[in-house]
Amino acid sequence: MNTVEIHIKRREKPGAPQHWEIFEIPYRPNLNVISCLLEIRKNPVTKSGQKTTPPSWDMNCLEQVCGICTMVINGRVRQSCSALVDNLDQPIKLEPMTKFPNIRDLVVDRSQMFDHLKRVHAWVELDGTYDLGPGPRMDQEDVMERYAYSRCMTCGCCLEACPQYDEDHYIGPQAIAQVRLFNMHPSGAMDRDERLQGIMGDDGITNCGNAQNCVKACPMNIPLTKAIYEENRETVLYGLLGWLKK
Amino acid sequence: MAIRLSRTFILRKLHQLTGIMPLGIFLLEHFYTNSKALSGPGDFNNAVKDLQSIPYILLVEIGGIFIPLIYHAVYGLVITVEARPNNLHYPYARNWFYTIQRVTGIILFFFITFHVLNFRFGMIPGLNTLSVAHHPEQSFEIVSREFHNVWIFIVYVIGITATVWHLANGIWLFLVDWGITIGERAQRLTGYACIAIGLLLLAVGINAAIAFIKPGGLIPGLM
Amino acid sequence: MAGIKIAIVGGGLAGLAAAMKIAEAGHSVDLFSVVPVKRSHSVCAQGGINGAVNTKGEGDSTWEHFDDTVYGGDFLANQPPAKAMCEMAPSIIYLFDRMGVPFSRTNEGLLDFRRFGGTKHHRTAFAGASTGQQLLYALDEHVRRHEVAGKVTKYEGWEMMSLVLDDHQVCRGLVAMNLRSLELKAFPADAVIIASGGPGLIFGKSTNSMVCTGSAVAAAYQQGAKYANGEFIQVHPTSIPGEDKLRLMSESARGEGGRVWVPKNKGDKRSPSSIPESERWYFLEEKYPAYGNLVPRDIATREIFQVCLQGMGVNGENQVYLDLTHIPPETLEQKLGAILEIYEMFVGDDPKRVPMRIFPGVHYSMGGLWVDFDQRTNISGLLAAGECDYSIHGANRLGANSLVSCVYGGFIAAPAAIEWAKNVQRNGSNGIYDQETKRQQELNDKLIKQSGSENQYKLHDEMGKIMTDNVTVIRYNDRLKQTDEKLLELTDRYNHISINDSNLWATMALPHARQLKNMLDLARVITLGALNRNESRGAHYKPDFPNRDDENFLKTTIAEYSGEGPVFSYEPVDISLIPPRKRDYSHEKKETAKA
Repeated sequence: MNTVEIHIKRREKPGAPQHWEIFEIPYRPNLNVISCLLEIRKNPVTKSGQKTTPPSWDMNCLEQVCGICTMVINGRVRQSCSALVDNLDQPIKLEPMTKFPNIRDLVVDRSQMFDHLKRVHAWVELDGTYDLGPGPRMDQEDVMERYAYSRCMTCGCCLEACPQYDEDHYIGPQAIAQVRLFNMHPSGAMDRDERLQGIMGDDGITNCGNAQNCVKACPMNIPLTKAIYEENRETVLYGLLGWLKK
Repeated sequence: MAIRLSRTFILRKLHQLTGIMPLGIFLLEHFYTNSKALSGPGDFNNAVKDLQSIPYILLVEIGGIFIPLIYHAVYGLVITVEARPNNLHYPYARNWFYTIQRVTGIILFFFITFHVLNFRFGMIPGLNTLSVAHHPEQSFEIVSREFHNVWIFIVYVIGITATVWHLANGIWLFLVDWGITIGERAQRLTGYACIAIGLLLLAVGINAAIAFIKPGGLIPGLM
Repeated sequence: MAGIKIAIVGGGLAGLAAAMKIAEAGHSVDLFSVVPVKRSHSVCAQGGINGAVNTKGEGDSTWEHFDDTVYGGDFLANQPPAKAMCEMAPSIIYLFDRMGVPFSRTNEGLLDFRRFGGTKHHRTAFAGASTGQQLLYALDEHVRRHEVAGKVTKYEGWEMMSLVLDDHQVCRGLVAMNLRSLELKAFPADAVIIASGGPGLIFGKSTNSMVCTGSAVAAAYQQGAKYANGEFIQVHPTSIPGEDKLRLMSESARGEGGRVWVPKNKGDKRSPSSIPESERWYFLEEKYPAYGNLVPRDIATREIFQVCLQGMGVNGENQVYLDLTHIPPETLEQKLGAILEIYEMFVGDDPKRVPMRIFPGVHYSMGGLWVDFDQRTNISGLLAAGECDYSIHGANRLGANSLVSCVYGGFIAAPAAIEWAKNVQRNGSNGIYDQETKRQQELNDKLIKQSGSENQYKLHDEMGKIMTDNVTVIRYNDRLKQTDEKLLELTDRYNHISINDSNLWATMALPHARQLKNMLDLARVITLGALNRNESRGAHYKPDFPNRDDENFLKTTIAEYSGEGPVFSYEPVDISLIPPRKRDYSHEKKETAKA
């Protein structure tokens, strides 16, 4: 094979209709989707020779740790930097994520995910950043579990793949996993109820439908369903049954 | 801090709970009564009669079955409307279970409506106009007559299968939704347990149905 | 005084550290970032963060850390800030620990530390092998907390185009561009902190992220900020060559016992596992018995480079083995999981079973905006912190010192900016903001309107190639001169590019074109700085001048912008604490008495 055929779902601006454009670039070994896009933007001409505008997309680290270059590739959501052409069926079909506002071409606006983090109080409430010595001692096993949750890069794969997430009416696995992350921390646990409140609203944790696509789609292999079920337990114990202690 | 419970949270928790209790429990009771048919019409009719003699039966039926059932069904439809199934792009087992749970839910909505009108109230003209509850001594005959119609029997096999699926998977969902099952291994093991429960209930449910058209069920004299 | 507002450019570790401190002090922050701050380049830092906590019974001390840092930097660093950073390092690690960063633990539940290059001590705290990501997230969380409290306003998707300076050259804010609408807007501020990271994209492919253009720094430079030690570019010894970038393979791989080798027989085509121990050349261990594979990066890079130049690279190509296969897979999974995943994802081999094939790649700029010991640039009201400033690392940065220097820089810049803002006289003139916005608009309009035959991306490729070829590991004066001529040619051709995107909404083309001009300016600073420095020191190596020359070059290079190109001057290095001595990693480092 000496060329790579790439179909890109284009949109000029928010509200404009989407349409497909077909591009073709010379094959080289070790190409990833980003390299293809970089090649296309140098000289944006469609396969049929039509001059067009270069596609826009988001990219940054290219090592699958920043999460920005997420898009739907051949029907599945993933990072485009780690999508190697040699492992993909051709033609390669690139679409923007469908669960977020589409800004242009492959660019989406995921700021709602960061808003979710605000709502779930995703931080340890420090007394201050001045020197107070070391933090609490912790078991390495707990640390490793927290580390797994802490690797979430807010890429949105879990939300894109979730059949329950649409129009932002579900807070989603990523925010719930962050609740777990901080509720597991000895100092973080002191604000447990604030976080539970954040995931018990009308768009809260009960909107999970247990399709478990999130955990399959997560590029960081975060045990998202475990986090959700841990928080199910906490919401039952402290939320639903909390009044029994009063 | 005191946690406020949102409307959705309470409604969903109730939905999850009613599926198991009372509806799941009631289904077990229902299959138990149905299975009385295995030992003959008399036993089945007596069982129906016994049920009718439960004190406060009307309250029990309304509060313990009809209200939870209608709530579970209607709110289940609300939940189903929110679904955006994507099984073709994400063809994982649990994702299929997700979709099937909703499909069986819709099937059950219609099947149970039909079933209740049919047998409990006897309100399907042309098919059955005798309420089993009010004519317990004829109940076996009422059912048996209808089940000899192949189409009705097929409808019931589908209905029973959908019910069993919906409950067996529902038990698993309840376990995770209430934070009883958490880890990956626990999810897997409870998953197997639910499959076993489902297969067992399916066998019991179908065999009881067969007992209305073939004395003693599929393998007479087994028990 | 109420109502202080400080603008911060860059949402990586340094920018967020400063934002957190300023917000905590009760003041307002406008935070500008090209990408959402959680996606900043700091996430790519892998191995860990240094701090002499001395929990391993090795007698480590902050002085020892300071000495390693200065020695590793070949004595080009001003010593007081380096010492201050090393002294602050343990408390920085503790702070992140309190914030909930999942640092690896010992059996007693204490912080665990690993070894890194250029030291004999276990001094590097780590969270798996994605420490930078974890530290950045901790700061991101706390800045979000201040955002909720209304102290921080984020402008994500806005790029700083220039500073707003008043008639007295005092920084009064900045002009930023919305990367979707291309709207230009002036943001008044009592002080500006630039924390925009490194300029790796000048070299085309590097280990840096795509936002690391150095563009904001170059804009400040063009407006009069001094740029120091530009020629000191760290080339990381172990990266994974790729089509779009060079992916980093952390030094922690060697910290955890990874060994670098090539087959002893040139052109040995056997698979690495079938090459017996006796036929492997562990060249770093052989040449540097005291530090082995953990020599500082400049040295490891040069050795790997030379080995490949001699044709001794694996399969005769530009690659050597980085071998972890002798370490138990569970240990690797726990301590290095994240980076091994990256390798497997992009190369396809499992590094737990097959030695990795790696080659040096441009990684970090020791040089950057000139700052004083309080992170203040020569422009009043403008401060800098993190990789974009030149302090701390001298001629070569030690591994795991970047994270600590970023946070340190932010923590020092924040109070210094507040101090300045408290005392600055505000002048009421709005004219300067409109004027600067208009100037930037004209630059944009010119680019949009012009239609030449040159392609901006091809110019970028050409710049990256010649910079990588001539201004990285081994430098020759004639090639540096050729490079500068080429850069001048590219600058000229830049005037004939045309923006190939007729849809200006959320276009990538115009911002890139603006960045490209800025990169070209910085490329000249780097190249000419290297040309002028006729010695070898740290990352700067000239075979024609193979020795360090303290007599002539123990001084900081300073570049100032002029229309005709950078104007160079020099400034003495503050060596008040540790007298310079020969740097030799084949032997144990000589102990230095506390001055």
